Amino acid sequence: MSPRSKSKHGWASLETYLNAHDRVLRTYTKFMDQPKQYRYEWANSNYLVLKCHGIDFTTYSGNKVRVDLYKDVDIDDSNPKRLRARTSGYSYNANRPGVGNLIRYDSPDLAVTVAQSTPFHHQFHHKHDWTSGVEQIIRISDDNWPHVHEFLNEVLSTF
Amino acid sequence: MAEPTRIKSKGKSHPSPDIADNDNYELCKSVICSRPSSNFNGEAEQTIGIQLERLATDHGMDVDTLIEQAHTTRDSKAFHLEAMQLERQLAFLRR
Repeated sequence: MSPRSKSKHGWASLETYLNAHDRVLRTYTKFMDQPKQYRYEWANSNYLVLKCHGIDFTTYSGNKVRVDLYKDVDIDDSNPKRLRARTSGYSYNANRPGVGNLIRYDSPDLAVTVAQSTPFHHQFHHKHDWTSGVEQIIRISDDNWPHVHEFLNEVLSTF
Repeated sequence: MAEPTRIKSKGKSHPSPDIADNDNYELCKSVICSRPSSNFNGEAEQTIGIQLERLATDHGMDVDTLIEQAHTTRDSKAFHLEAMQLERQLAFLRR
């Protein structure tokens, strides 16, 4: 595992990581039609998946937007008494039911899975933006991809 | 995959900070207690591969077509998102 990072998306204790994610969704509960929280699934002892699908929001403008959140979480157990967590993959999708996708943020594909047929934009953090009617793909620098609360703020204030 | 049961606060849609803190404690305990002891990937890979095959079959296509559709559709359905997530999980396990 890599050393401690001071980046925006660096390592945190697993407790801090879970609490932060739980708290963020609680904060936005009042904008949800039905309160939802993450489901937590372990793929193995070093890989945790967080997902929360089909969150129906009413935006600040009164529009309905459905959001799907997904995270791959690396678990560092080099100190078994203090597990650490870090997001290693994510996908945040916003969709207007009955109309189509609005935006989606995706992490890059893992280098080992990039093949010749892999679309170029899969090699970096990116945002799909369908709001103009034509899909645009915007590259995002390595440490500037949004936290969940930044994504939810964008969705609630933009749509 | 092992799946912890989330312990929820009772009867309040907007929990007080105390209840939220208690919830978080229970959540952490629940997630950490459900952590598997092994980081063996083989079984997880197999399970996810089967899930992906089944998802594709349920929607009348093969896995490659499903993945292609999931990445290119302008109206992502739950099964498209599920397909992309399973694809991502497989890649993660094969690192």
